[in-house]
Amino acid sequence: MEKAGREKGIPGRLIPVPQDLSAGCGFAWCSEPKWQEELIRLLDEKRIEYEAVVQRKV
Amino acid sequence: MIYFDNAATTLQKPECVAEAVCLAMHSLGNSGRGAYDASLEAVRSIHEVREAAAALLGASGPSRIAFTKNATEALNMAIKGLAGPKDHVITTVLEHNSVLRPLYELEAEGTRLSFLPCDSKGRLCLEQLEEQLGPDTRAVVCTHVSNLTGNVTDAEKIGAFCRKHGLLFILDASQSAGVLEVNMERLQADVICFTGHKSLFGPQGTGGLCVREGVEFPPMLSGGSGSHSYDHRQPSRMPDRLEAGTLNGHGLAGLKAGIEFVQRTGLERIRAREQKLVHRFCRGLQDIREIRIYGDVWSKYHTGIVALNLGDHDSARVSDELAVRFGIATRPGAHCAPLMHQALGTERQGAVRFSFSWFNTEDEIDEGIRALRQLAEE
Ligand SMILES: Cc1ncc(COP(=O)(O)O)c(C=O)c1O
Repeated sequence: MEKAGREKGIPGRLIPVPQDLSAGCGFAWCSEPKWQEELIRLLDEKRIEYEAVVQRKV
Repeated sequence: MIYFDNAATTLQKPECVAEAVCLAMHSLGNSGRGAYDASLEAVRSIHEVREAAAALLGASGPSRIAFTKNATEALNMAIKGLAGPKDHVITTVLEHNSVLRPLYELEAEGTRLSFLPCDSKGRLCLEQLEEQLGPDTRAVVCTHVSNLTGNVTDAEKIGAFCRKHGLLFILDASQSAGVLEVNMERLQADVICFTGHKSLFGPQGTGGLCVREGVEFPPMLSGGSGSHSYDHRQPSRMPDRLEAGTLNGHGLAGLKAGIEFVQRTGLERIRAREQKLVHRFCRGLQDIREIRIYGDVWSKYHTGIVALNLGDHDSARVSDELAVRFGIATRPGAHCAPLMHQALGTERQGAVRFSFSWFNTEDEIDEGIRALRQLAEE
């Protein structure tokens, strides 16, 4: 994801998954909402598996 | 960056470790596959690592050490090899998933499991061992040090209990090897599983098991051993029995350098150093009301780990702030120890784990305290 995002010039970074999304461990890609559609397209295009896409305030 | 995730893996290694790996990559052939210099050099090199590991763990000889790629592989081999569907196994709520998941797999086949509970500080209730004993009890599997709280298990007591009742004792020394004395005889353990990349300062991809003479279980893998090539079965001799395939000779050369560093430095000194850092850290946090520390950090039965939470804040968030704003590396969330989180009531929040090593400094500890203080004030 990091590599794919960089190639497409989509900003963001990996963060530990917030507890309200999933208790436990793992990573989430954190970016601004305006990139959401493009990110999902990228995930599908690169066949990157993901569990969920959510919007939340930080 | 200030690195406080040494319980996951030590990042700063002694110089001699990388040098040994580099040298090995330039000089080692495949151990036991030829009689030319480079292959013999690999045989010698691996034998020396075996000797170093045997000395460290109090094995009766180097052949009692079999190398694996990590503790997880070693634990899987020992647990699945030694317990069957008709057996009862006693374990604890402190365990890492590398103990729990193999046990749950056995449970699905019929093995009966019991879990020794702990108190609010994460200390095992060892007095309940006796109650859990049954006619079908075959083994006790437990960790020497909790990877979440840093609490040390009284393995000597468990070993004596196992010996008294004729049980096998499998010890997970992932968090203790390189910090505490882990001696097969003293602890009366039957199998000690260890990993190379944590406090032994070896490269990732190294680890193994130390198996008491007379304790036998089938290999998980079979294949080339460089001996008895016409036999259809894996050789029964240790360590070939448990070491099918080419070993990580390059990595193991680094592990040897790591073990030598530990021996040279002295376990007592390493332990005392980690304890001093933990005490300094906890003392510095004492007056921050929002901070909740788990584990028995002031006890002498404790290593270089401090797990904590800041108020009700998500541990993932706190750890992320520490990393991004202060350049401090910690681990948040669940720590592959689900029952321990249940026992401490941190299933949702997780915990921020700070784990120190020989190479951390007082200044780094103080930096960590300052960062937490600032986060608490915001
Ligand atoms: C207590 C404990 N057991 C087992 C392991 C597994 O070690 P490895 O990942 O090297 O197999 C760890 C490491 O995270 C641990 O802390």
